[in-house]
Amino acid sequence: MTPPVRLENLHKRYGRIQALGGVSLSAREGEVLGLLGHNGAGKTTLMKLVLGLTRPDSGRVEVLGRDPCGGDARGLRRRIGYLPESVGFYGELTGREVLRYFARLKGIGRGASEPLLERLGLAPAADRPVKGYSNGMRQRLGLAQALLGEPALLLLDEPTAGLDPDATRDVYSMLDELRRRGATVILSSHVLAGIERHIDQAAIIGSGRLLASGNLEELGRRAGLGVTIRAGGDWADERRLAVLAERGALVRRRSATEVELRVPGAIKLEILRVLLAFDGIRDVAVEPPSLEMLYDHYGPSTRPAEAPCATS
Amino acid sequence: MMVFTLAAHELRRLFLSPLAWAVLAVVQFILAWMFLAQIELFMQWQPLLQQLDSPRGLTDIVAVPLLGNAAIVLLLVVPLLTMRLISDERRGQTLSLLLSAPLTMTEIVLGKYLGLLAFLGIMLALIAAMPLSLLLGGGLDFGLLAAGLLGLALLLASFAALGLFMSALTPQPTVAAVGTFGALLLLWILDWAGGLAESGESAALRGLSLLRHYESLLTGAVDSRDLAYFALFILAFLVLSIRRLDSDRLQN
Repeated sequence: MTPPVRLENLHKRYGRIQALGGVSLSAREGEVLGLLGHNGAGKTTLMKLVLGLTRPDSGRVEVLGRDPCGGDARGLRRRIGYLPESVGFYGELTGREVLRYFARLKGIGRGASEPLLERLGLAPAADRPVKGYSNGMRQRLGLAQALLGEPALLLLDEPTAGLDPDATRDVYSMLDELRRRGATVILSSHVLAGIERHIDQAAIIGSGRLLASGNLEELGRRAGLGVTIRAGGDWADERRLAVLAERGALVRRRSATEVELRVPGAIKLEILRVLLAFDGIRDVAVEPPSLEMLYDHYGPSTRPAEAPCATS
Repeated sequence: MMVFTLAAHELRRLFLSPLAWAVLAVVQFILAWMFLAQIELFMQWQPLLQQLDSPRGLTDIVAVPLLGNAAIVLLLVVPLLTMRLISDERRGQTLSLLLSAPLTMTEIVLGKYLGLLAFLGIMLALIAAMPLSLLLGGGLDFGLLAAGLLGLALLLASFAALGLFMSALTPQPTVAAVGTFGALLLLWILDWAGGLAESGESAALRGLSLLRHYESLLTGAVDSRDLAYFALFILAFLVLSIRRLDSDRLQN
């Protein structure tokens, strides 16, 4: 089956600035793809290319089986929801009016806005002018307009920027719901720990180049970062730590009763066997490499130095 | 259909801003003052006019000067209304949502243009109501009045098209307003420069003048050349606005 988003060898320059240099990427149906990268890495440019807001200098963009800059761009955009990084609204209009306006532009009945106002907790403020909204409320309104018409593809540029922890949690639960519904979501975020449990694939971009992509497990395996093992129990005997270190684990004592081990994938089972043979071990947790660890591995330290930063 | 959604939105936003109400009030007040002054003049001239074989009527002495003055007042005021059309969207960061909506650039430009034209139409109707009120106490030359109102409508549509283009050029509404005012004023001065000599260049400059074509319609002569001039002027600036917005979308 053709993936809803397929990008092949995309190049894009803005004058002398190279925004994208040969990016190939795809997102499958019902999948959340996280775009990770520093400011100016090219994430926003990538989203604009998917939306058809700009054309690539070379390469191919296929979105929901069509060219976003092609003849049926209008039909295609009806099926895409977009939340820009810096979203603004008409301050003199109320939240309800703003949402109804964008619903009409999408060719959707005005009734579609009401459930979204409820769902995003904006119903009590729906009849207040937007100029009186907090940043978080504006962001939620932006998200509501992106969700109008139950789009098949959602592009969310920093969707949790300016949101409080409760609203952030709501956004993530909405992402999970969209994924269950079969929508494809591409989101960019700097809050790596926040999005980690909600994305299926990560694409790490640096200076317009795709540095790595794949699901977290794949990326972890390729990076050779191994796993983190947390073991709780009786760690009074220092000799136990020495045994584990001798076998190749990187040992860190977190407290008198908890130890953290960084273990290469190849010796994971061996270390676990040794660990479980110790008396007094009460709890063992095995964690794959975190998104932050993956980003540190693939991202900034291996960023190509020659490419200038793009305006994204 | 989307064009009308955009136009209705634009008109509503205009009426939600104090600027639009202030413009309506100030323009009406100034023009009403001028209108009453012309009526006063007509009353003074009436005994003299009665002695002439073919005297000039109410329309000539009151309505046509009113429409002439309205053009000057509106040249100053329309840039204040057009300045926010696109530059405000850019500054308020609403343009990215508009560009990503299922709309073409032509629809965006036409929607905004028609929204402003609807507002200017209301203004024109209020201006037309002044000479029409003279029907209560006298007769009017409807042909002359219709030609004058058509001229003012075309002039306003031209001002709006140029203002829309200027608004598409910059994210600063005040820069757009100053640019529009400057360009319109230049078209005025073009007419003066064109009147100094009788060379081919002068004739060309006069041909480019908005006011020259407007004055022609104010005399009651509906010439197809004047209509074509206004149509081309409006079309050119609308096309330029679409091109500008499209290139902006692709470049940024």
